[in-house]
Amino acid sequence: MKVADRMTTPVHTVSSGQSVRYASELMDRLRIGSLVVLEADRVVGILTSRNARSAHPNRIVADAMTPNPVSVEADAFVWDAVRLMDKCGFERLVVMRDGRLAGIVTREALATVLSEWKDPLTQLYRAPYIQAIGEELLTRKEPFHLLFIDLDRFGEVNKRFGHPIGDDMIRGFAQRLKLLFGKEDYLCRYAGDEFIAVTKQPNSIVGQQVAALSGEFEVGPVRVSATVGWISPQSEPDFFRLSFRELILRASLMSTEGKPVRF
Amino acid sequence: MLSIKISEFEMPPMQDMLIIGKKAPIGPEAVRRMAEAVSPEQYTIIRPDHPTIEAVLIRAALLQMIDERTLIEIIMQEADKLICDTMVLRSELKIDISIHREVDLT
Repeated sequence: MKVADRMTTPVHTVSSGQSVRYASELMDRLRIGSLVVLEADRVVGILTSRNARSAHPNRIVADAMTPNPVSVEADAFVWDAVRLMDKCGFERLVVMRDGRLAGIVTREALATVLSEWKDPLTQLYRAPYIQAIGEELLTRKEPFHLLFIDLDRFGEVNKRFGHPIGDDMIRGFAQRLKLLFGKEDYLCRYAGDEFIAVTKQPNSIVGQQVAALSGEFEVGPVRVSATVGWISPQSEPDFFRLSFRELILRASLMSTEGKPVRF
Repeated sequence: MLSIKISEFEMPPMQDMLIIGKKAPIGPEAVRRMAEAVSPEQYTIIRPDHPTIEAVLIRAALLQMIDERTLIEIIMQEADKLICDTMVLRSELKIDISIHREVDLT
């Protein structure tokens, strides 16, 4: 899911020298919440209805706008745009394509699509998310590590303690994953008690993460550990010739067979 | 009855300094553009960290005579007593320097 699929077009613009009163009336007439501010065809800011409300209507737009807007490429992933919004604290991003203004995207528009991709139990994304990330990285020939993480004894816990405890185990493990991996890594609950992490961290860091995941920790009455299948261009010579699905399959076999991971 | 008052338009119209409140009807960028149009490269905008004052437009030459931080600190202290956030204050600012030197008259 790319930003271009969710951006608003056409983009309505206003010159930085026009009055806030004019811009407010324009937003009212078009029933929109923001305008992209231009100076000699260059994007210099965004004027939101909130900006306009808090400024004197006689001011010029340059004195009321949010300057230096953050932009995102039209072919960026929706979740990368959300990460960018979280990082800079903005609710809107300007969308660029080939150096030209292509649209505008709001957090609200992205939140709807992202909620469809989230697993309600863990708040991690679901399988299609990691599939899209992996395919894109393979297309770009960007090396990464794929970790297929399979919880140990999940079925046994469910039988012995009941499904609510099983759910706690899944939630607790997801929390541990979030703590272990950084904002630049991609995580998903792939299915049931299986998780996938895609990371571009150095080998040594990934080795530590795998070791931490394999170690036991407690969630309520249960001791939790996981078996990790780890595949990367270093361990798999055909890495960039394989499909992402095939990489997942191989990593999942490694975890199922409990093979020792290769460093 | 017709009444006409005529006086000379001051150039530049903003004297040495304008102090701009945060909700003033004219903002710093508009003031900067105005100053740039009537007196190119003569004025500079400073944005102090102040609850009421958004910016100060000041004659750039003054900043060559006195340290910017010192000057802004004095301006903030004095303007703070007068300004509210919807106002723009116009101000003259003169710096007098007295020089005394001992010279050898022989």
